[in-house]
Amino acid sequence: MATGEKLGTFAYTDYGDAFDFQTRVVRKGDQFVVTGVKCLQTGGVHADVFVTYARDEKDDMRVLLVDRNDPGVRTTPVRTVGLRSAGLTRLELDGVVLDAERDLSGSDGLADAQMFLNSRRMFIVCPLVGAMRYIIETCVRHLDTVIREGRPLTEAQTVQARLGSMYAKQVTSRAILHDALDRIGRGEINEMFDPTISAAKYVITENVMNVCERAIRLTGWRGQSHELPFQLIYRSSMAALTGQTPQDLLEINLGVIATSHVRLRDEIRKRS
Amino acid sequence: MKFMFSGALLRFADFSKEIDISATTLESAVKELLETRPLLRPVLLDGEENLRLSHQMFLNGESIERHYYTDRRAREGLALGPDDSVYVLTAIAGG
Repeated sequence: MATGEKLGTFAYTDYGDAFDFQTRVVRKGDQFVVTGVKCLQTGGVHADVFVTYARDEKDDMRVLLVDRNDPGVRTTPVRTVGLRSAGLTRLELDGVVLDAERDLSGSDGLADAQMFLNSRRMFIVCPLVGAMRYIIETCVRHLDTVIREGRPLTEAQTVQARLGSMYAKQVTSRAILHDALDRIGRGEINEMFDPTISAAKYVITENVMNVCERAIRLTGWRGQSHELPFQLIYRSSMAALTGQTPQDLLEINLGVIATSHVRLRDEIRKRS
Repeated sequence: MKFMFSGALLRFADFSKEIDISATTLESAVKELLETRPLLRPVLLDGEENLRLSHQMFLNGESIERHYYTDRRAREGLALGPDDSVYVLTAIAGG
């Protein structure tokens, strides 16, 4: 992978939470045997190797390099409403035997997973900010051509208010994205679960879904047809609802952090 | 001293938000905690018996420095008194 000769992807998502992975690995002499099903891999259709997370006998998480051609490995394409070009797959591992050198975990595979998920939250939302601008520009140009009561729809105040609301979401999304990226650049983030990165992913995803929906409402039947691009962006953006940590789980984690910060501040105040 | 838990960790601590411990160093406090709540062992400790970096730990409200997670001797040298508190914050994410 390092020399670019092999394409790799992560096989993390499992049928269970991070403390309850169903994919298991057991040591047999100098080798490991992996069994289970990993639900979803981006680019799995083209991947040569899968960086696979599995639970061992001590309930520790191990990271193992699985080759597509290893005996017992099977991949099947996963069909979704959007991101159809992402090559999503399901990875089945039926007693796959791996030499010890395929174990990449060190001592803490769970921390490794949290670190890569943390930074990947930005990669999934960066294009959505540009998509929002494209939606608004396309929407304005289209509504300029729709004449109602003798004037373009863009001159109606109700339409302007809708467009203003969409524009506010796009500008806000760009600002929080740049802030999060600046923090990453300055090394000012928590490498495991950074609230700024996670909040940015959460808000931008909610905003792009809202902007898409508003564009479709404003443009009527054309908005959901292939004449305009909104339906395509809407479908593709759905991947962000669940990818790189589902929105609902982010809400829970951000809520835990919000309450913890208050308790920790109170603890410091009590002792000062 | 006492350990304080929240969120996803509670189910491994019998849903106790606070657990009182009599030990006097961070290392011995963790050991005592895991004797009373064994389900926490694979969640709090990695394969080398160190504290997992995926959790954030706070002593009396202040973040515990990274070397206390990975260095047993450092944990043995961190003295704790009866009024001290260690808060464990977990925000584990899915894929």
